[in-house]
Formats: sequence, structure tokens, C-alpha cells
Amino acid sequence: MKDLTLSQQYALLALDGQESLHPSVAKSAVLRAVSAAQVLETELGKADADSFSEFSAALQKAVQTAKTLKKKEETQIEQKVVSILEAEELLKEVPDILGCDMNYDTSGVELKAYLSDETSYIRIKEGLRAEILEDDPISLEYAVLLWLLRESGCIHDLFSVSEQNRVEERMTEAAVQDEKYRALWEAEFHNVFEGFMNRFVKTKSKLLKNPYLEGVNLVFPYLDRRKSVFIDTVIFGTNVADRRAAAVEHLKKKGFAVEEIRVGSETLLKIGNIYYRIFPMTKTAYKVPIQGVNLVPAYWQ
Amino acid sequence: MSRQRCMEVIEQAEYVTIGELVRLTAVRYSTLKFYTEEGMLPFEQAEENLTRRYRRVESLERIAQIRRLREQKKTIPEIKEILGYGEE
Repeated sequence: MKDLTLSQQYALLALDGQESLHPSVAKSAVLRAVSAAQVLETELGKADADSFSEFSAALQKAVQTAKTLKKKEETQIEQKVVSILEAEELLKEVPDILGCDMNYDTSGVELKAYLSDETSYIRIKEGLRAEILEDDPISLEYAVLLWLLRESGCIHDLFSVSEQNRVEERMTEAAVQDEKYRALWEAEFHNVFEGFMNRFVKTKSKLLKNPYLEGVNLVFPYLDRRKSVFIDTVIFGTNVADRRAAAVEHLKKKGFAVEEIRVGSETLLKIGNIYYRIFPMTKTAYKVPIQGVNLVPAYWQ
Repeated sequence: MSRQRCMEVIEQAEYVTIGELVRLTAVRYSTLKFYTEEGMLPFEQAEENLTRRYRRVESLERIAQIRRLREQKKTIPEIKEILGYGEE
């Protein structure tokens, strides 16, 4: 098992599920965080990284780098980090789930997304969750990772609403005990528009605590890193299981690795590293009813 | 402030944290926490320090054993019975 650098660990978590061919606000936020991670990982590796003044200076440098990053530099960083992770077989490009949506399927637009290696993704994500949610002291590396995820709006992908309260408590505890953590939590590089989006997604995540309200997600498919899609591959007169099977078949034909996961009385679909709820739905186009299924990202409860 | 241990060190360590067990096994944190709470994954806790520490070798063997039993479609009560933690 190989140790990955901070920027590589972060990129594996944050690029997973992001559209690869086209720019997006979410991807831009991730790439700026990658640039900050690259500055910090160099500084954290130095022998004197434990001194507050050195750390503080490195943090300022990282924030400044992220804030002033140009679009062209973002593209270069994306190409560089993706090529390294692809060479290590930790990241690959797969068809984007949004391409299966009825409205995109026939549009001829090519959509691709990044998919992180599942084992590495779980190792990083769950390792971070364990360290943050347990009572153990938080290591500086995981604190920086958490900070990068916060600044790029990925927290709600990793922690449930109730866990986010615990995360906040732990961050406060750490800040009281060590000034480095206080400096870290106070540092910000996200821009105002993304800040608004983060708050929106957080509010939405809270709203969606009730699974029956998850349909709200369908109204705003672009303001999130995850996507809700409508698939119209259903034959009349079929039941829920048949429709699910038809949708799974359709997704597999499109090249997705789909796994059906039974959770209590419900069956979720695991596509890549993301879980989706699936339920039958009818859409109307020009007064013609179209039978199909909706796939809605399953948030952490 | 602590620093993260590298994989090379963790792979040689006598004791590991739950986070390090997650990194070693790629098993979800919630799963390992559940096994711990069900008493299927023994740990040690020093008095002056509340941090749970797991014996690396024994814990890895135990997790592999539980995984095998889960693949055989055994339920958690059945696994606990097999592991000797059944209800008395």
C-alpha cells in the first residue's frame, strides 16, 4: 500500500463524480483547493513544519495561491494531477450519469466524469471520518484535508447532518488545544458565489433528512456535485422491480458499474462511489406521458 | 497536535487506531465501529487516555474472519455465536 500525498488524497475524494470534459464551478473550487494542498504538502514535509510561524506562513501562501489561481492554471493543475492518478490507476474517466438523463441522452453532448478507485476512495474517506468522529486527537494531515474539503464544499458528501455537528465540535476542540488548527479553520479561499452555493447545499442536505423530500433535489440538478437523472427506459405494465431491472440494464449498457444494495426495505443503486435512490416516475412532454425511473443521490442520513 | 503515521509504520505497529484499521482494511468506519460496539472486535483502552487501541494482527485476522462469514451469508448473531460472543 502506497502513501499518497495530501493533494492526491484530496483530489481522489473531491474529483470523484466531477464532470471531466467541461469546466464547472464545483470543479474550479476543487482545483483551487488542489493548488493549496500542493503548497501545504511541501511545507508540511519540512523538518520545521511543527513551528506555528512556519505553518502560518505556509498557510497564507496556500490561501494566496488558491485565491489568485487563473483558469489556465486550473486546467494545468487538473491535467497534472489527473495524469498522475491515472498512471497509478487510482482515477479514470467514465461516462457521466447525467448523460443517461432523458434530456441529455438524445442531445449528442458527450459527458464524462471522474471515478476514483473504490478501495483507495474508501481508505481515504473512511480514515478521515474515523479520525474526525472518534475522540482521538486529529492529526495535522487530516485537519488540512478536512479544511480543503470545507473550502471546496465537499463536507456534505462525507458527513451526515448530525455528523456535521460533531465535526464542528471537534474543530472547536482542536482549535482550543492548538493554535495551528485555529489558524487553519480561520483561513478561507472560497469565493462568495461558492459560499452561497455551499450554504444552499447544506440547507438542502438538512432539508433532505427526510428521504421523502429528496425530490427537491430534482429541481436543482446543477448546484450539486451529484446529479439526479430521469431514465425513460421502461415498458408499460411492469412493476417497480422490473423498472429497476430495466434501468440497471440501460445503465450497464452505457458502461456503468451498477450494484444493487439492499438497505432495509429499499434497494439503492451504487453507481461508481455514489449511492442513488431509484423510484418510478412519469414525466410529461408535449402532453405525452413518459414512463421512467428517477435516480436521486442518497444523502447520508 | 499529532501527525499522521505513514503506512509503512502502521503495517509494523503493534497497536493501531480505528482510523488506521480503516486504512489497512478498506472497511468502512461505521462497520468497524459497529463490530466494536457489538464486542466482535476487541480493543484496549488505557486509563489515562480514552483512545481505543486495537492489536493490529489480531484485529486484521478478526475482520477477515467476519468478512468470510458475511460472504457465507451468516447473520451478525450467528457470527457472534461462532466467534464465541453469543448471548449467554
